[in-house]
Amino acid sequence: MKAFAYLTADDFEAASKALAGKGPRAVAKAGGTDLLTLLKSRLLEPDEVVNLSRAKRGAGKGELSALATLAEVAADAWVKENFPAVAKAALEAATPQVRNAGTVGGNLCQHTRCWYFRDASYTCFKRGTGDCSAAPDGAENRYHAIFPHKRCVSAHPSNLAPALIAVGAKVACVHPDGDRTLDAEILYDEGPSGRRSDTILREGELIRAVLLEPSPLAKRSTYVELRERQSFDFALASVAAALDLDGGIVKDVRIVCGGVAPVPYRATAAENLLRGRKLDVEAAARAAVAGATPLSGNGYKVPILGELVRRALTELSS
Amino acid sequence: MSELRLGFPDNERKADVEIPPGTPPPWDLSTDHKVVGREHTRLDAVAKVTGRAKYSYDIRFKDLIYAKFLRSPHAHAKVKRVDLANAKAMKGVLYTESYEGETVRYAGQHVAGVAAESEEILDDALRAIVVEYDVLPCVTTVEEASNEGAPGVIEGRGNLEAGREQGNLKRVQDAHDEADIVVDAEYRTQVQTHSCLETHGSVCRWDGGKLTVWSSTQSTFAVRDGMARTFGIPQSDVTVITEHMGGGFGSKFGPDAWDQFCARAARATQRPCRAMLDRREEHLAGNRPDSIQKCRFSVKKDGTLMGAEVRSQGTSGNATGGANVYNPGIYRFRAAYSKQDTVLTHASSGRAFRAPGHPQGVFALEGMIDELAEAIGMDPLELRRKNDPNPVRLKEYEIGAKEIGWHRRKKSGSDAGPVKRGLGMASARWGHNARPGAEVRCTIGRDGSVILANGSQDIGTGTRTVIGLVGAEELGLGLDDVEVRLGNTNDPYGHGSGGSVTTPSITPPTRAAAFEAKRELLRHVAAAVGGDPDAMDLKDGKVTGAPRELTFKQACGMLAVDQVTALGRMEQKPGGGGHLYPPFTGEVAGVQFAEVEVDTRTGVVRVVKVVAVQDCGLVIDPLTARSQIHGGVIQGISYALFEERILDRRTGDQVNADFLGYKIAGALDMPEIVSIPFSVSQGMTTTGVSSLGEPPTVPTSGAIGNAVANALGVRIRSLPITPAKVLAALGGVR
Amino acid sequence: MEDGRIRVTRRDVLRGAGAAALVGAVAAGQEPAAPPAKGLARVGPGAVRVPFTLNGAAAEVSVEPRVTLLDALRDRLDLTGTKRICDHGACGGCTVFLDGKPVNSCLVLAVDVSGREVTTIEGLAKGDDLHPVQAAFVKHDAAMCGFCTPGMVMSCAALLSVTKNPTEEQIRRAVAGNLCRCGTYPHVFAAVREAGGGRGADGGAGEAAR
Repeated sequence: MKAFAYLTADDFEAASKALAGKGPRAVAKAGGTDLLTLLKSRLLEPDEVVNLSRAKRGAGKGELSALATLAEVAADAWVKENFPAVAKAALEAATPQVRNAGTVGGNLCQHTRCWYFRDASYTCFKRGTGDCSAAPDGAENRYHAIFPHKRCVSAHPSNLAPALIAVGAKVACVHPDGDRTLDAEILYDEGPSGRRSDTILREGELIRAVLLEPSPLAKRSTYVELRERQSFDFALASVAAALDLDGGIVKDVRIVCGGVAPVPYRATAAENLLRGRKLDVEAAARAAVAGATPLSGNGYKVPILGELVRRALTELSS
Repeated sequence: MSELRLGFPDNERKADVEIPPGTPPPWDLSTDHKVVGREHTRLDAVAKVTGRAKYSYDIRFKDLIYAKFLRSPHAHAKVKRVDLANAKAMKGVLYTESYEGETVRYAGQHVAGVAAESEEILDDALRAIVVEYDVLPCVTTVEEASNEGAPGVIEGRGNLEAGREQGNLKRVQDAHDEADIVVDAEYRTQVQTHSCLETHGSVCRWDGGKLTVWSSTQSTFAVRDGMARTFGIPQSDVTVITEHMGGGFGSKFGPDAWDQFCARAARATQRPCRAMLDRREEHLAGNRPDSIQKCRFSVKKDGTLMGAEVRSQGTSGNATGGANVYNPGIYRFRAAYSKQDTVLTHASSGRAFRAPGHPQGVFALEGMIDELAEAIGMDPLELRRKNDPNPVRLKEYEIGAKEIGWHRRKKSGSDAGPVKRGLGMASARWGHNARPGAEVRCTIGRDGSVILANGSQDIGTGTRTVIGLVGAEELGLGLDDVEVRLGNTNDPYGHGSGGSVTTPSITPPTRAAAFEAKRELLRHVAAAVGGDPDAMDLKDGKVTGAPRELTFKQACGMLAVDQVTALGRMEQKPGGGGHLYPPFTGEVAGVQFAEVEVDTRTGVVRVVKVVAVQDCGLVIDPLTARSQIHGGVIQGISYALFEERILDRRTGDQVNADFLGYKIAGALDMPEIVSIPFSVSQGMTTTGVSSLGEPPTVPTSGAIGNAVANALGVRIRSLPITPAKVLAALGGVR
Repeated sequence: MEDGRIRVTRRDVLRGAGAAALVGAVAAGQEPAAPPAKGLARVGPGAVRVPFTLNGAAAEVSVEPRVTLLDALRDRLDLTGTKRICDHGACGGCTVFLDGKPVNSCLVLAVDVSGREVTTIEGLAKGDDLHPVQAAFVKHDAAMCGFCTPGMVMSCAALLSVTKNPTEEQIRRAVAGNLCRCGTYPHVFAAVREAGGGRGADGGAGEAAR
């Protein structure tokens, strides 16, 4: 790690002010579980690290503090009862040690595990050092995206993001130019031509809390993932799904996939197919993967994703 | 003449032997052990569970400095210029080296070195070094390196190192002609890195012209000799200390470049220096070479194995040789032939890795045996029994088959699924590797204290405890009554812990030392209380055969000298050398059975149960023996399903050089494992103890591969067996 | 969470106390270049004094903010029982308790623990009285080379502190972040079952007594 000054913020507002306008020279730290690995490999060499972990937890009613740890979310009775996908996603993440330190905000903002992103000697669209190294011939892309963007084929690593999108969560953000509340899904909007940064957050903008509103859709939600190794491993693919059934007819549904695209991937075609009809799990599983364009080394992820959609919906329909 | 009872209760053989005077009577099936063969907790267990055990990584001095290499991101390049100016200008940078002008042959080869006051300064200094390379084209796979016009790895020689050729091809072809079925198949195995948890490295300190090295090594004496050669000083001026070490598995057999650099930095600065690799570098410090094995095997319909023909290629990186596989082997073929080539690539060198060549060879061999069984419609266990010459393994088949419930095995692919179960099996054959040359010193003090000392190391296999148990047995004491000193080259010589030689080679010298010290003690007792010392012995903490009751402590109190000391070694046959006694089989036999569950919708393989029956000669301690067998099985599972060094073909750089991308099996991946140490009176030495470290990791991947094939009805001939490969084999990937 | 929010826990109170302590900490080197902004306490990049509770006693270490808790423990405080194995949070070898919960000390900055409680493997046994997990590890031979053992012991002790008599599945999940290369896992499971008051060695891990 390069030497840095360490700033402890009392609240998100102070932290956001300290970060804004400094670009890569200042970074925010919550649990630190992703940040420290990036600092150690010198992918980030900031002059200042702004520590959020002691900031006042600004969570009100119906809110999940951005500083809540994954372990806290996994164990929270209200979350388990009303947003089962979120609790399950938190529980499946990483390891007990990481879940005790890693936070909701950090999980949403973590960087991809793409090994080319994480090695400064390769060019990388996301790092702004050139073209994607994972797409061309000869690249090792077995764990990468099956819904790649033409400029980046990384896989989104977050467990929580698909789950939060599936239950219709919003994120409350703090910035000196004005606070705002965004749909969790908008956070990852790639726009028409792809985006280098992991989220649409402005420089210095921080997620203060996640807003959760109980609904029939959120209550009937789940999260499933598939790992190559059962012990600590990032999922080959994950699916968070939420289903509102009315007498066997799908009133509303959300199917959000992790680990298959540079951002959480909403299986819109499958959702549209289901809405207003009798639940057809097989058709949904087929539709979810219909548009997949796998890379040279990851075609196997397509049937896996289909199977995960099948499992998630089957679980919710029973 | 005495009678030596060899073998095991169901299959005993007697041999008439001459016991040389001055040596302890050999242990065999008649021996009634008091300590040996029973479960004990390790002598160093408390130190390890409390964090008090000091590994080389943990050696600290107030004025300790830190050393590390800067490494090339390119696999093939000329180091044009190394600019150390910025690094040298940093406060706290104490020593540097440059390897300007050298040729880089693998990504990660060192190009500069720095030693500094702290690890933070060291990190800054390495970042500040500017290196210019002439980057050259690289080859990272056997196929690429074999292409015509491929860039050469070592100047002046081709990339193909034509290796060992064994057997008579003509006779094999005749056997094929005579056979009913001939099967051709190609098997592949991956590169596996040792992934020692304590990384390679050392702490070096000079006191005047004398060097002390705290080394994470499997061979303290090899480090001593290597360092003495490096610095042109006598061996007596080098002390190597390895009190505890965090895993080696074959990769830590001498001083490495970083150790030598560390010692140079320590000498230049006259301060103790530490150089321990980081996790990324650790993946460079040795690996199990990969393999492509083209096999043609044949069989008669009655199950007689006929011809075995293997052509294998593998890469040991930029090392010449070392990619041989153990295939064929184990079973009796009418005729066998193999040709084994090593292909040079721009990758870090292979090193010995727990049963070098065996897991990769046996994965293919055992797959082929199952394919033959399938082809003639014979039960795979039956086919093996019919063609296995080893009496120990024949018994082990029986034990293992019963434990796994082999009768439940269905026709391959017949399980309804979608999660399909399957059973598979495979075997291991290893040498009885008792090697002369090691020495143990036994000291009995007048106060009854006993010290057993040897300068070699305990790499986690329990050597310290084994020495204590054997010494205690000979002296009629308990494990707690003896102290074992290990891991300092100022004590008597011990072998490197490799080839599973340690326990078979260290137990005879331990016995000899304790026996000799005991005889000397009893002579003192006889001088004090009368009686015939040769009729006396030590048992249960007491002297037997003396004119009066004496405890061990009372006996020691009668020493006319401060202490008695004896140096024991493994006795050899007088004159011609060789082992004192005949062997039972002279080899070590093992079998494993695996049950798996394969989810045909996701391709995920879950190992449900493994049964490992493993012969290791006389079992010294069933508890630590089971640990060893468990460990071999677990590494085998990891090899079968998860581990793979992934090199980017364009750069030769390992993209998964950490513990997230390089996946070793964790707690949630564990099946039920039943490890059954199978005790055999093996003869040969005074202890009849044989090898155990390596063989239990040999059959696991083969057994799992066969179980997966049994579950699916489709065979995956490539390791690791990942969801990607399973789904591809099932035709589910477009 | 009856009121629908992640409520303030004892841990938040501790964090608050820690923040106060950190504000009290001064840069051991020169004064910070810029005056601190409102709501921000700035230290470093030079060495910072970090007061915290270590194994039940007051402790202090002076390190740059970039130094991890792991390196501070090992290389400054000579507590080398906590191991550096992967240094990236993937192996659990560096597991310590932070305010009573297991974390990877390689992913925590030393300055982060100002005012907080840290327990290392050295603080688990009370003198020569081993923690029940440690005693069970000894009995069941749950350490071979022993390098993963301190982290493994910490994860198991953490489990037993919140779950009496855990199931095998709970044990496996508790050590899912601790890698072992020698293959001690089945012995670890057996040890924790016993330490937790459950069955002894002859259980599901297949350590049939032979």
